[in-house]
Amino acid sequence: MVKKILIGLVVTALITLVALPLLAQQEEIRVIYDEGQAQATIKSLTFQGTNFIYLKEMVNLFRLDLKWDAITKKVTLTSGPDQVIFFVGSPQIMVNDKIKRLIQPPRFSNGAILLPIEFLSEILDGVLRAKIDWDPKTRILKVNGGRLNIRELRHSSYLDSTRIVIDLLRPLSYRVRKDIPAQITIDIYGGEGNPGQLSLEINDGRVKNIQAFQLPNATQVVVRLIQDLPYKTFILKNPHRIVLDINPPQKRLGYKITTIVIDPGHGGKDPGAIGKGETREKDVVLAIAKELKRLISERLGIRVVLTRTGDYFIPLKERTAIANNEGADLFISIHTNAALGRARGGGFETYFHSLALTENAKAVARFENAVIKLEKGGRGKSMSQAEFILWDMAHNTYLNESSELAILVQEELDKKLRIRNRKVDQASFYVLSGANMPSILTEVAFISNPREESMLRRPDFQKRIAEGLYNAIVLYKRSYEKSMGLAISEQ
Amino acid sequence: MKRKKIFIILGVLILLIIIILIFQRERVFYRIPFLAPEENVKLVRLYFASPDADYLKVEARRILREEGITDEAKVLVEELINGPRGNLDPTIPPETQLRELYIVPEEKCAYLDFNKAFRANHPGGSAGELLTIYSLVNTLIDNLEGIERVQILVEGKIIETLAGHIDTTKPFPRNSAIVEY
Ligand SMILES: [Zn+2]
Repeated sequence: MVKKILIGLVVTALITLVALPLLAQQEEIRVIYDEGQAQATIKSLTFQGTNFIYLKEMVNLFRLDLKWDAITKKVTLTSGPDQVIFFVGSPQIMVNDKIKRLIQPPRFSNGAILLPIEFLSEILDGVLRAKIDWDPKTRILKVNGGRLNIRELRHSSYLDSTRIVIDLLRPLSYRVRKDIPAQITIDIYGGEGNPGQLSLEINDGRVKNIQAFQLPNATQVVVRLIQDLPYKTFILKNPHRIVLDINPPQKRLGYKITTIVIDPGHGGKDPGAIGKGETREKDVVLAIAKELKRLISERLGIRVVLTRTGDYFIPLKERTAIANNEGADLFISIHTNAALGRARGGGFETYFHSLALTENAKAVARFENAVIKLEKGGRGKSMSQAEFILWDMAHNTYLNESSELAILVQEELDKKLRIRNRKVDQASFYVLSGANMPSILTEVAFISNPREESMLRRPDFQKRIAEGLYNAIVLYKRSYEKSMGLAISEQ
Repeated sequence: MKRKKIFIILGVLILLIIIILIFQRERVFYRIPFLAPEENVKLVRLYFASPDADYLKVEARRILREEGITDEAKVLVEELINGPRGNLDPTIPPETQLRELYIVPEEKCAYLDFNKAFRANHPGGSAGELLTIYSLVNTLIDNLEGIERVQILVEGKIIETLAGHIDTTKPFPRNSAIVEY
């Protein structure tokens, strides 16, 4: 009897085990980009002889934006200006307002959304503009050429300066060279662009024209000027774009960093974050700020102003007002981080201010376009050009400098601290929004994490943080004063 | 002898079950928690914090379908306050109460009005604030048709910041950079 039951059980288990992979056979697909320049693997499932891939994997692979509506089962994928809409279970998909039909509709399996592999070519065709070859025998998916990650080249000419914007599909590293007189070359590594679309005649008195060349592993954008002019470049996120300003609004010549404002966060009635051991953010950051001030004044001989020197409350607006009034060249706000949850976070991170928060940045891009339209004779209640320049200066002038300082701070803290290096990030900070100088906010450790809280109490740990910040300031000062020197000698 | 056999068979059985479980786990790992909803139930995507407080991650949850969009939005916020059920971390202090929620369709904006506890019990920190703000913003925008921005209020008023960091004076659009799928 027992034996029979056992045999029955074994048979059931075996059947289950064999049947599961039969229902949906799981395999892998190799994706090869541009004749082997990059590779990836994705999982696939076979239903009735058709290969399906996971929507989630495809979205990650091609960095698409995904929006899902559970009621209508509608999936919206966005990539830059392009959009693909489909409904799970329906073979019709809409690619940029054009309707296409799939042989097999997207389907659910075990809670996940699956797409037939032919969907890939529809997406790549419509959104990524690539040629795609699917070989079911070798299970290799070749994505070739036309993987345009450089979308567009735009420019706006102002009274004294010219802005050139290169729209990217995803972040790409780039280098700016100036080895030929009256010519600026931008090498975009891994760039894939259509040279025809990326060339422009400008002739605005500063820039003659822009010409692009597609190299095997980079896109080269050559900007030809009437004469040598100062310039600066920086990147903006989401949509990712490289901005080149020719003859940007001048800063003080012979610029030197002479005043630094250090802002110990919180104070007085606002204790900031409080650890489990009752350590208060306001006390820790004040100690670090004082130590940093000591290091800078003693070793660099630069004037340092603290926004507060004791335990009292200062409104956020006043903190940047102090920096503006002191004519500060740098503003550094020091905080300790916190989060809810079990581990309560951990590590250090540094932020620089940006209005350009993801979708906000799309508004920025739209805004830039609106201004261009305005300049071309369009009318409307959009901002005037002068207003735009003011707006732009307020938000972008110190973006490059601030991000450079943030990166240096993060690198130098990494050398001094043995806690996790989180990241440099952008966010819209109330305390940084009015700063008329490069500014950052650094979260030196998590006070909400008991281990890091006890570190933060120790004077030697506070000192190491101050030293890391000091080293970053030294490096920043060196690189900034050097680059300013170059800009001056070019004139 | 017979006992030994039974033990071997049992051993094989346990092994099989373990193999099946591992197999299932892998399937679960690749699952996007989207399921076709039943009649009165809606499957929603709630954003909670990853255990290292680095990102927001999605937890799928079935909620009872509400009549209007405003009530549906209220339920979503309540679910966020209730916190995650899986292995993610909460983003909103549990003492928080939603006082009022209204939607202005012309602005495509949802206004969320919380009680004082939302701020008073907030842990602070830039990471903490970003996770709180975007768990609300992304959850509402992803689950409700026609909402593109979310404005946070406390005791009926616009506040400068939650705890001294991120600017909360304007409505927030969705942020995909903070999400890890
Ligand atoms: Zn703080």
